[in-house]
Amino acid sequence: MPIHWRSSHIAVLTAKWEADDERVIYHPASNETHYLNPLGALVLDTLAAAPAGITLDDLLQTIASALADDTIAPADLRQYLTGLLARFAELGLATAVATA
Amino acid sequence: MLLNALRQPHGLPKLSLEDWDLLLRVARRSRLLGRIAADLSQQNLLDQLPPSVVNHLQAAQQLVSHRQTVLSWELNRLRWALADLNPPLILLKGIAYHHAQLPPARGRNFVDVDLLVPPAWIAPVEQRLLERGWVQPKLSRYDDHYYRAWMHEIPPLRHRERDNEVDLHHNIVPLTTRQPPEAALLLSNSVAVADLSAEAPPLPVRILAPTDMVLHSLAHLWFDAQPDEGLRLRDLVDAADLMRYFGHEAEFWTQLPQRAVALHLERPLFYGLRYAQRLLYLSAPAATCRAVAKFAPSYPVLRVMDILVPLALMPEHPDFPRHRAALARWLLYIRAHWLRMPPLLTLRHLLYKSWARLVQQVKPKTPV
Amino acid sequence: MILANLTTADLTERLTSRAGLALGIGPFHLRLTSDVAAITPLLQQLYRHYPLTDQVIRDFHLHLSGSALHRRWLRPQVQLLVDGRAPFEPLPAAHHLPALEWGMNWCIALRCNHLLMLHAAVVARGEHAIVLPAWPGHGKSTLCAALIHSGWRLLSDEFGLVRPADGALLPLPRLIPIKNAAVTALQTFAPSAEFGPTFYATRKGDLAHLCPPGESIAQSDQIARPRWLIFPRWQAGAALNLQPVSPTQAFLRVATNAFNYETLGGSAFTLVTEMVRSCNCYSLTYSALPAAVAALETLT
Repeated sequence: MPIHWRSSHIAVLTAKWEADDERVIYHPASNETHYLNPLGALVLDTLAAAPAGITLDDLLQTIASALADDTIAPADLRQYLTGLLARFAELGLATAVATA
Repeated sequence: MLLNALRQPHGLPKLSLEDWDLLLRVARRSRLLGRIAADLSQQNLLDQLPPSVVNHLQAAQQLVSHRQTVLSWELNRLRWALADLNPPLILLKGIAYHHAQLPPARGRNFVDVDLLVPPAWIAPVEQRLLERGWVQPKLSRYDDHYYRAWMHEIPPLRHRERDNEVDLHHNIVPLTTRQPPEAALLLSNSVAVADLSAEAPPLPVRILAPTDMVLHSLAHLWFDAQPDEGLRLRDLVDAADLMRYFGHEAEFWTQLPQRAVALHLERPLFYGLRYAQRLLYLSAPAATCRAVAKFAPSYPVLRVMDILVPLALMPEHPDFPRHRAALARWLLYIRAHWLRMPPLLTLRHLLYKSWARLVQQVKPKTPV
Repeated sequence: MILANLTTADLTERLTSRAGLALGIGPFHLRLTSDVAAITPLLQQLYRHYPLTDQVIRDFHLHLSGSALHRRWLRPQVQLLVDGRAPFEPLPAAHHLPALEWGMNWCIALRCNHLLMLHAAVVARGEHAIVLPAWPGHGKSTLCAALIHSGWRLLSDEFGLVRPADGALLPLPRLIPIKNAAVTALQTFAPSAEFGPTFYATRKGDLAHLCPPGESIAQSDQIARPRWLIFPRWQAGAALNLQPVSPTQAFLRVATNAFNYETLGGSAFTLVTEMVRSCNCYSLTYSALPAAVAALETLT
């Protein structure tokens, strides 16, 4: 039973500007405003694009190819993403679901 | 005037500007401005009011809806953190009214999330929340001991990133009350609430049974008097709302007096029903009134309470405070303490607190 | 009719009567009573441009109260009552005007949640406004004071009021508290600047209040639109530095400098987003007022 991650089904308001990769989102359920750096924004977009959920391995692959940066070690990226997903879960922006 | 506004909000558009000016002030002081705003907007009467009044009402509504969002989210996160522990979780007071969409929720400002769990569950729940980012303030040894030994809740928890207070209760009145209700009775009668949001965490939540919820709100009114604020009219409004709503079922009115006996809350019910009928025009079946009349105190005590209670419940004219109302508030505060605790503890508690206040005066806190 | 039209006897009579002195301050109506005689000449000087109002519904009912008789010799104090209650600890008797100003801030910050309240100074020419959000101590008030003596209209020094319906900025011209060290710099920059007396050792240090210009108060009903967002920072001896700020950073700096951003929820998010979209955003580090004002002149 691999764990799948998906973004919460709660709509968020997004403010982003053309020149910026970073962005600010507003999460109505919690009334919290979050700042996302370019990588955080990319991860949230990837989760939102997979409504059925995505495993950490698949997420890692998608992000690595989008970044196309050889200087980042895969192990470091995995650790970074694990931490980021746990943070998203704590904030209610993403949920871990166990699927068969 | 405030009572009329609560009883008949549809009459408010006819109010003179002078009366509005005063009503805004007394309603704000009684924490009922949001309630009046909600009643008016529910009946689509806001656009018949002067714009300067609407501003105040909208501001009050904004504050209430913000608190409701934030505290619902706090509950969501609590359920998320506790999901795999799976404790029985019963919502109390404001969060229960809001979650179950009961009438007193409208326009009601609430400041914390009150939860009831079986006594044996307190330690594991507290432990889990401390592991998941909630923190407890450092209390003086006296205060920590006061909470754990004598109170019906543990010291408040707060998430390190959010500013909401979470009160974990194991009973609905302090343990030092001469006859506290048995927590098991409350738990076994509690009822499940369905979730409205699809995104809610898997942990189910419950609320108190209708009779118990009414008795709890009345216990809160009489046990929680404040020396400067007196009795909270807001609490009586809550209880009256609930009785009106649950009272559509005839069964509720039969069970209410019986339940008061079982939970040892006969006197709070007697006074609550009496003043809800007198001040808020609540109507109750004659049979219930007869049953509750048996819980009355002796006649002289009742005469005194009939003078003190309305004085302490009703807000005063902000420009002309009356000494006897201040005295009534203080007497009822002492009485609430006396109800909660044996007299020796009362004295010790009050002494310690006034001593602590004297010490604080050396370093006066700055405004704002 | 403005306060300056009242004789001293009239003003005293109003302040001590039940009806009180009713003033229009920006969008708000204030009813003030007082038993502190020393406040009267200060109101005559610094509040003289404010219009008297006959609005029946007053947003704030304030009473400035001196010490009871038995305390007058010991340690005289002054206390501000809001709706008959004292939300603050009493202050030394000499700090009557600061007590009144802070009390009013408290009322506005707590009660006016029908508006978005930024912690920002706002000045305008016509309807184009510069919004200057800043942390305390970053020289926002001083720069604001310099701008209003350089042809800009004062909308506010402390509360940038944004109307949720359309994002318009509402004027709330009030006295501007200036720290002692900056008073001299301002007097050099603008000899016509008019200050009240200095209050020593308040909780914000030694300060004096700048009288808001009469023309700005007379235009209190004219809204403005945000056009420039400037994040000022005063640094002793620093060279002038005007740098563009990214919209995301500007958003964060505006939102974290608001009094009630969280209370307004999604509507605050949308308002700040729109404000950032319609503004050119810069950070401004300065030490000398003439250079800072000149830089903003070039920019606008």
